[in-house]
Formats: sequence, structure tokens, C-alpha cells
Amino acid sequence: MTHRPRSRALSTGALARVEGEGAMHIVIRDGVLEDVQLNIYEPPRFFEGFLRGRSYLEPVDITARICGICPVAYQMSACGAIEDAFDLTIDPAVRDLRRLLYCGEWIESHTLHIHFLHAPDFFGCDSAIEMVQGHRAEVERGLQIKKIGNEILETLGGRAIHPVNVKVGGFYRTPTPRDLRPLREQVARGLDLALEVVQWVATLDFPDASFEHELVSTWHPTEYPILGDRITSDRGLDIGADVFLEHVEEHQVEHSTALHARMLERGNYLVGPLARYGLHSAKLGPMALAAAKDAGLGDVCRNPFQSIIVRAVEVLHAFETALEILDNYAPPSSPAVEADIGAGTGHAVTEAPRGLLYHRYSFDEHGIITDAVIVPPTSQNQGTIEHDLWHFVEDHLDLPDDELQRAAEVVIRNHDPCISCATHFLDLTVDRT
Amino acid sequence: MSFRAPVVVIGIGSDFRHDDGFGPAAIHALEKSELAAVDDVELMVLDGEATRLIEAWRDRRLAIVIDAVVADSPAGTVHRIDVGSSNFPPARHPSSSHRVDLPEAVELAVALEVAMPDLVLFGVEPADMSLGPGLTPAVSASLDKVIAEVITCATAQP
Repeated sequence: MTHRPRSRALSTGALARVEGEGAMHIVIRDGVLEDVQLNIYEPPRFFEGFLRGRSYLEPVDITARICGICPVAYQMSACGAIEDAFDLTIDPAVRDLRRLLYCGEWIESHTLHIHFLHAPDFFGCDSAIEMVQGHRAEVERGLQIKKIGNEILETLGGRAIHPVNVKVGGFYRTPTPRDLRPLREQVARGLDLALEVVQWVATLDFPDASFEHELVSTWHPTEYPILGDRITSDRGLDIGADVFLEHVEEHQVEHSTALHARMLERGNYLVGPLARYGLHSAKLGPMALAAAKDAGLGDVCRNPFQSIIVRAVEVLHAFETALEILDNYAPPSSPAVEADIGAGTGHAVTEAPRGLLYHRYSFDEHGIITDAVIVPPTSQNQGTIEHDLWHFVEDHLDLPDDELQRAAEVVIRNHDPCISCATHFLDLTVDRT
Repeated sequence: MSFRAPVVVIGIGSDFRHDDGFGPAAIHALEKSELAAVDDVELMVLDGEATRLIEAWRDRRLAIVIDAVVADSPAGTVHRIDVGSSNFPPARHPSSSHRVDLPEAVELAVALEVAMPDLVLFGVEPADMSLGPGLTPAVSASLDKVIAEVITCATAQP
């Protein structure tokens, strides 16, 4: 057995293949794990301040700029909160179009993570470029699927990066059924490709791991949550978005400019694909549900390494949902309903690809923002990621530093942290002295 | 099959990170220039994610990328780099998807045997990439020069 010094230190450059940038610091003293810190910086805090004094019409476009990979999530939570403040009722056809747009984002974001960020870990590759050598067909299939997600965003959002067609009350322009016909062909093709991806990732080798985090997601009576109505957990939480911050406490930690979130009196919790799946797998589309069973997933999946399968199942579900919406689409009577402006406060939660995204806005009588609060999923998962890392590192202290670093990165990538929503740079440091 | 302009000009960056917004600012300016009326040229803003860049490059003759580039020069310095030239840096494997890593996108495209267009990067040295809107004066002063060079490059006969 190779001898490892009981106290050592190493540091590396940027952590690879996560969405954005941040910093991770691990401290090992005399052979004992002393500290694990995820350090991130938080643009939502900047945007909250930036929004004050602006019109209720602006958050939809401004908050979409927080993240290039999940702009729709920010737009949908912003719309929901503003419409809640003004008691605006949305046409069901508009709601379906919003779900369709959101499906495009789930497809694009999850497919990027599965093929270009996460899968290389299972083949011992440093990057998707290296993985192409032995798995070119799978990478090309990923590109095809991602492109279909992109086309959904372009068709409904006007463009894939920071869509411009979304507004409070609906859309600037809604498509005709004829407009959507070419998209339907693409989505039908994507359904088959997405099923192949579930079957492919199910064959990967997964380390044994299981964590009993509280699973939290939005809830809808009949739909697998995308635009949810309430917030539920597997430990009895069942609340409306309006009291979210009465149950979830955001607190500052010394090592990060981002706020950490925890459930009052219970602590860390998990949002994202594993939480959605664990709480709502029975509401998946029939193909996605059957594919999940065939892939060996139970009703709940608590192994974060298997999150790649759950993401693939959610991509398949997004295609099923998109196809159903396209097949039943009838244009709304009007692209948008106008808001009756007045002083008030509104709240909303929706499911970003990485999990629950909460927005709250307060307005004066002219519809000017007096206060804004945004809680992104990665902020909520920070404590949970640190928890997973702590246990993983503690169990693998005998690994050489380079292997420990690589393994720690994989543990972080399991949660697909969208650190660009919350940070600027990610360095990994292991300090053993 | 829909028409695909043979030339694409891509501005990369975030306009809420001061000088990182140079690429989008250049595209917004080009949308008001004579280039906007040229059918053979498409203008777009991207976030720099590699697979989106590859899709934007597909089936083009020429791709021009405008971005903030850190090269330890004075703020506002304009760099022109032709991909394939000796001064184009290698990819920094591995990197994140949100980090603008043009070399990585090029390597991935080559690995996937995507037919690459001629690729020209116009980069400007930033002074401030922290959160906030608006370019710094030094970087803003370089906009006209870059726009003029991009128009010349995009409209040159192949």
C-alpha cells in the first residue's frame, strides 16, 4: 500500500466541467478531514439590487441574463411572481406554451450535462473531446438532441440565448399550429433519441452511495413538476410559494459570498432531478416511467452518481410532454393578458433544470420594484454538496492527492451545480498539513 | 432547406459584467451598421458554450468571433487572431462549459469532424469583468476600431 503523509496540501486550477465557476477548499489535518467549503459568489444578489427601482416589465428580460444555460427558468419564475402580485390569471394555452418552452431548456441543459460534463467521468476522460475518441456516436447523438431543445427555445422564445418573446401575462407573439408543425417532427425524432440515451447511461458503472437528504420540489396534482403550484418534501413539507422564506432560512457563511439555504429546524436539503424524481416519479410520462424502470431505478434514487440516469429520464419526459402539448395545441385567444398594476408582493417557484427556483417581488402602486429576492437551486444545494463531499473525502483519505481531487470533482458534478447562477470562478484546493 | 448565411459574426459575453459585454455591445452596434443589410452575413450573440458555437459555425464559410480576451496588454488593446495561426492558444483541458473557451470548441468540432469555417477572433483586452452594466472607457473606445475591422473582414471577397 502506498504511504500517504498524514498531513498534506495541494491546490489545483479551475474545477472542470461544471456550469460556471467557483471554489472548493478541503482541509485535512493529521490525517483527519477538518473542513470542506464550497466558495461561490452570487450574481443573484447583484441582480436583486439592480432590479430595485425598475418597472415590473423588466425582471423577465433582466433575470434571464443571470445564466446562459437556464434563462427560461428565470423568466418563468419572474413571470409567475409578478403575475401573482397583480393577481393575473394566465390562459391555459399560454401556460402550455410556457411548459413547452421550459421543456426545451430541460432538454438542452440536461443533455449538455449528460454528454459533455458528466459522462466523461464514467469513461475516465478529462473532457468530451477525449470521450469522442471512443464514443463519437453517443456524443453526436447528444448534439442532435441538444439542437432540438435549442429549436424549441428559438421557435417559442425568438432565440435560444436569453429568449426575447416572453412577457408578463404571456408572450409577445404566440405561434399558429402551422408554425409548430416542423417542430413536432423534430420533437418526435428526439423522443427516440432520448430513449436511447436512457438505455446508454443505464449501462454505466456507478459507485455505491446513498444519502438521506430531504427531497424538496414543487408540486402539481397531475404533472411531473415543471411549473408547480406548491412546494413539498418527503418529510412533510407542503407549503405555498408565499411562505417559502418562512420555512427556508438563508444564511451567510464566512467562506462564501453566496447565501446558503437550509430548512428551518431540519438543515440541508436537496433540490433538482433526484428530488423531483424521488417525489414525483409516478407522474412521469409512460415512456419515461417505463425507461426508468428498465434502467433499474426504483421509485426513489438516492445515489447521486446515478443522477445521470435521472437526467436522461427527465429529458425523455420533456420530449413526451412537448409532444403532448404540440399535438393538443390551440392558440390562446390573446398572446398575453395585461396586468392591472397596483402595490403588492408576489411569489413563484418553478423547476429549473437544477431544481427549485424562487422569485419574490414587491411593487409600489406604479408597478415599480421596491424589493426583489431570488433563491437559485445551486444556493439551496450548496450545503448538501458539501455534505456529500465531506463523506466522500472522509472515506477516501488514502487516495493520492490527484485522485482525491478528481474524485471530489465528480462528487460535485453529480449535482450539476449551475454555479454561473451563483459564482464567477471555481478553484479546487486540498490542504493537507 | 432554409437559407444559412455563409458568414456569421458572433459576439460572446455577458452585458452585465462590464467589459465582458464587449462582444454583445459590438453586435448591437453592427446591427445598426451597413452590415445589418448584407444578406450573406448573420449577426448573433452567444454565451461561449462550446456546442452552441459549433452549431453556429456549421455550414459557414467564415465565422468571426468578438470577445473580451485577457492577454496582459493595456486595457482596450485589440487583438486579431486567425484560428490555425501559431498564436492561437491550445485548449485548456478540461474547462467548464460556461467559460468562454474558443480553443476547446475548435478542438471538439475537429474531433467530431465538423467542417470548420475560416475562423477569425477579434478580442479586446478588458479592464473590469466584475458585475455591472456598461463598458469601461478604455474598452468602449475600441468599439469603433473593431466594428470597422469586422465589417471589412465580413464583406471581403473569398
